Amino acid sequence: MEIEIRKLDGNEMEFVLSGANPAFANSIRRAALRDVPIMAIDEVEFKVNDSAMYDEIIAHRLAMIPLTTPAKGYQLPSECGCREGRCEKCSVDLELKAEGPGMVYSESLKPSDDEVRPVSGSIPIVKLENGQRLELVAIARLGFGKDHAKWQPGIVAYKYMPVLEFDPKLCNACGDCVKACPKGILEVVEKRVRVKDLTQCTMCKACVESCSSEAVRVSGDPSKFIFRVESTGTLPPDQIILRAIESLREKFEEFPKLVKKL
Amino acid sequence: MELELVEKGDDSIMIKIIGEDHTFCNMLRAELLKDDSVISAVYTIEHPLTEPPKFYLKVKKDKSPERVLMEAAGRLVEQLEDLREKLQKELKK
Repeated sequence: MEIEIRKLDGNEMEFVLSGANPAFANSIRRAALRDVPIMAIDEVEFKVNDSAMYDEIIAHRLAMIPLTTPAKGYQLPSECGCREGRCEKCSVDLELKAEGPGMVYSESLKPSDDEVRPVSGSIPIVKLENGQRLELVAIARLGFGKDHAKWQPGIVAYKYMPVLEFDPKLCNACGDCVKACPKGILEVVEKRVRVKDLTQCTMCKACVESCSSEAVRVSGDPSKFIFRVESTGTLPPDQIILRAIESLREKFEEFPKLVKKL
Repeated sequence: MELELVEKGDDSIMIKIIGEDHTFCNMLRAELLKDDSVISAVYTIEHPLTEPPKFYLKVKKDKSPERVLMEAAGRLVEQLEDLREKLQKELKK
């Protein structure tokens, strides 16, 4: 199995996984979405809420704000000794105090640990009228994407590596497919069709339809995958994939021990 | 993860894998099917919220199904560890 990073830029990453099978690739995708713990607001204690919105709606809006997750240091509430999910090892308090008029943004959330802060300070929470006040303490905890989407670290998707075949016996290099391709990745060089960037191909088969001599074949390679990762900003995208692989490995290390006990 | 034995024969086994879903089961199933001694490896999740996956494995007579399960998991651990190392090497570039 080989892995090749094609792009790693801020919150986005693209890599090619080759020598794998669809089940393997899909499990990595699922593990990245569901089994990588990140920080999110899980409980809110309201002190004052004069705003037009109910406590519940504000709490829900707060939970949707992505928070940065420190590399190490916090424990899952279920594994923490305190059992309440309220101690320093498993939770972070974010205090918010605001008075109207004006919009309250996520930058007003003041965390007790600076490593757990809103990814962006410009996310609107609620609009306050003249004299209205909002005071609350939001408690952030680690959690899994399988329990709630607020704990999902980002988006991970993959597609098969496209395979474009041009039959040299049938192809007359008329250039119809070059014009038909919506991505513009084909060109005619010395009476042969050449692919400029194969990974850009969406397998739409416009080239197949345009070809009058049936020389083009489009398929996907089920052992080669182009992965695209987009993080919400809570973790770098490479860390999401690394942790997903680690979580899978831990499961398969535990499994034989349990089989032995059967 | 917890395992519960549902049925056991000489060359087959059915277990419930409590706390896991397609992420774990599908990867294991695909790896088992690469093994020549496996006749059948399938799983079903009757309901994703209430029922744990039921995993069924039937092997040729010369091996025990438990042994085959453990070997497949071992191979996957190796593959994942190898992939993790390769990814880390790529990241250092």
